[in-house]
Amino acid sequence: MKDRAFRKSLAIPFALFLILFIIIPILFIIFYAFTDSNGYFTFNAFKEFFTSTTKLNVLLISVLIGLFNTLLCLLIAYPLAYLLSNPKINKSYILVLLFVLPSWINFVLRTGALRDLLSIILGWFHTTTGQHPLFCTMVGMVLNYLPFTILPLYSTMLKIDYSRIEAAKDLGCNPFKTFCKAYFPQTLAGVISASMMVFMPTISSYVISDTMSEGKIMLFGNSIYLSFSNSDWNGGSFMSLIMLVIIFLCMLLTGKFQKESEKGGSGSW
Amino acid sequence: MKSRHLFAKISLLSYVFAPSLLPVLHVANNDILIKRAESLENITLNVYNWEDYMAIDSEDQSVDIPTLFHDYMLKKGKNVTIKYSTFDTNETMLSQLKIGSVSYDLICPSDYVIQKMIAEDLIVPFSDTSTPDYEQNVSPFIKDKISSIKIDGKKNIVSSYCRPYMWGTLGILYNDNYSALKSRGIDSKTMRSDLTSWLSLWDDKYDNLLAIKDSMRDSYAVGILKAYYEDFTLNDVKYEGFKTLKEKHDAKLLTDEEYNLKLTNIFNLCDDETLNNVLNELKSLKKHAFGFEVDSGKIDMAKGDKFAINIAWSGDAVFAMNQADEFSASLNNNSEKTILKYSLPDTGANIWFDGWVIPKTSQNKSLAEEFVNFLSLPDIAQLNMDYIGYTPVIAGDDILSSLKANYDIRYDSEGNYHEEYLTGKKEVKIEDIESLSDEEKDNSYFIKDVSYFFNNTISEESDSVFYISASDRYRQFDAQYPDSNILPSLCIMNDFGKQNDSMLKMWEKVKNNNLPLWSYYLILIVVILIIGFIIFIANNNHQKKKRRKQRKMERILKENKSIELFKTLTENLLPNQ
Repeated sequence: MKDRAFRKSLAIPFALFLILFIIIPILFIIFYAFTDSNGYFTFNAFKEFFTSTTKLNVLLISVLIGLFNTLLCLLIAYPLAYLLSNPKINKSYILVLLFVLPSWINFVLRTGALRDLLSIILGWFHTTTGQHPLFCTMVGMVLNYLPFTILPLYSTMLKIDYSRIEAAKDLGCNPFKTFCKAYFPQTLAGVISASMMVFMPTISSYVISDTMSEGKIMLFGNSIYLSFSNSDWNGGSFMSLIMLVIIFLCMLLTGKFQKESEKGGSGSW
Repeated sequence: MKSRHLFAKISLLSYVFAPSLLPVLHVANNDILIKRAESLENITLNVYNWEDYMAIDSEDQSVDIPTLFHDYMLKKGKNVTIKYSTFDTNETMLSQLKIGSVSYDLICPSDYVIQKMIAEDLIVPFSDTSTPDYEQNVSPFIKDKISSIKIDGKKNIVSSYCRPYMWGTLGILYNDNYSALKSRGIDSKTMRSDLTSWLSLWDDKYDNLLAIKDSMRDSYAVGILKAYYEDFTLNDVKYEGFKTLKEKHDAKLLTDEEYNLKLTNIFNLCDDETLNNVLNELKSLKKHAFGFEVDSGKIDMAKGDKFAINIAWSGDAVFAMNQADEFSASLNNNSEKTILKYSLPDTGANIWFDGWVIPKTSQNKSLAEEFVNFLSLPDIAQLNMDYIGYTPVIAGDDILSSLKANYDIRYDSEGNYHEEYLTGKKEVKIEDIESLSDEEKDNSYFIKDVSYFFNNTISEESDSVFYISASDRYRQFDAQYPDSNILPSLCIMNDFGKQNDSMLKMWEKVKNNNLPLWSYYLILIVVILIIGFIIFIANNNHQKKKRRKQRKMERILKENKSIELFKTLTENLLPNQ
């Protein structure tokens, strides 16, 4: 019994951390989201958000850019991770490191440098970064989030059971079918976690879109920042709450997906 | 209060045990003073200021204002330590103040925030005679401007609540040597004459060469100047036959004050209709612009590789010019040099100031006033100006001689007068400067009188007339001290008060990107298709399961039947056996 009590007490620092830095701030957000500037209960922020076409439009654009970024990152990272994880092609860990290395540099610095680099490159084609805000933002987003996509894909691909692929080939599948039926389902968990790593931060990111689009593209993160920096705490809190709800929904969805893929993975083989 | 006593005790203890801990004390050579100071209670003054907005240098104590103030106060028999903290936006400052975890004694917000703080009853007025050096040295121009601000129709309120610190204007910083200009056929002369008007920012020929401020109030100022510029020229009746207010003023039918009052009233319009007009102007400006910036613009301008025009505060403009000069100093090729100039359109522009206020929670009001007075000493103000690059509201001989040493061609860098420096150079009128070639500009000068700023603050033998090289026209000095004929058109932008929320919504709309209409339909169709697909799949699965179940049932039934058959067969057969 004593031993057990001691072991339980080990969790106290974590519980404290959880309460102080996660639960209390969320409660604060909820409190501010449903009060007015005098601290009285009101649905004003709620009404304002869902009647403001501007804010809804910003959210829609953020979701679209988030989806687009996720898709691009996956398209680039999936073959890359495949090559990196294939022991026949890549024999050392250093190559993987090279791809992950940029994410260790402060991302504000990286984004600033990328902006200058892009403006030089676009200069060769006689245009400027200000003329192509969407293109520049997407380049910035993809380069920033690529390492976060490569890593989960790489780690799931390392664990792949190659005997299944050989079996599929032996049983007469063509390469495409082998990939679809034997390879891809095994990496689905990695794909989902990679998507999550990209999608949510993209919506709420604000430095990248601000720097790369020269302030021309406003994402949901920028909108929240604008509210807070103009002392509209209640509106800003409500938008943060919307972010939390979206994160929660995504987690629910992926949780379901992951369960299904695990079930499918073990069941079908 | 309790914690402050504790702090005082600790610091007293530290004086007893380790006097050498405070190197500050060694600066004051007077032993008696030091001894007296050791027996004094240590008073802390909490100063809350913008980042990089005061000469603070921990290495060189001769330019470190907190140290200088400490020494200054020691002579008065007080032992004062300044606790200096900084903020990056007015809004951060306001929320910090309202949370109230630290009680500040002195804060330096912008003009409109001071008005807001007065309205919200957060600050207390200065005592009338508490800042004699400020009264003596402040520029009459600034003093008039600030006492003319009206709150609820009453003048002189703002000037009793605050002591201005730095001031400046919002104008157009431009680089007429920018590479893309040549291919568009724009030379420096046309650019100069274009940029004397705010309208040119909307001109197609400067497409993608212009960066605007990513800040609601500053962009609103630019937008309203354009929106109402048009309104002026259309409205003949309103101005009695003159096309614009400016023409009427030029014809001397309006005094400077009347003209300024009218402009200020227009400049401060913020009803819903005006907001809508400004929104449209800003949306079209966004289409023309290279992008938005707040802080990065000055460096990008100095490097001269991204855009050619930037809306800039005069202090930032001076900073960018100095940076650009530094970058260009190493270049030999003239065509690659970045030479920045500053234009302040004379049809109306924004003038702003930041000022010291004392919050209600201040514990040391008289000491705060003393510090403001100290900052208003001409030598301290000059040190500040040299260190941070913004223009202090303080005039006086020290500032004047420092400016002359920097900009007047008759003076050397030490500030000594040399008659012979003028030989071989000829005087030109300001309006003729643009027709000179570059070489001629180097050999000529123009005369500029800034007595509007220095009046009544300088000694009789000095004058506020500057001889400035023609090649320095529209550069640092002109950015810091605008020409006197522009002054009547400079307006202060007030706090928007209740309209602040609508203003924020307007700004959100400016920043928002609307997709083309068809894409919304496309998104709707795609979403419906996806939902339909999911339902189809789910339904399919359901059907499949159902069929599987059915088949199973049938199989079971069949099996059951066969079992029954077997049973009946066996039963029928058994008796026979």
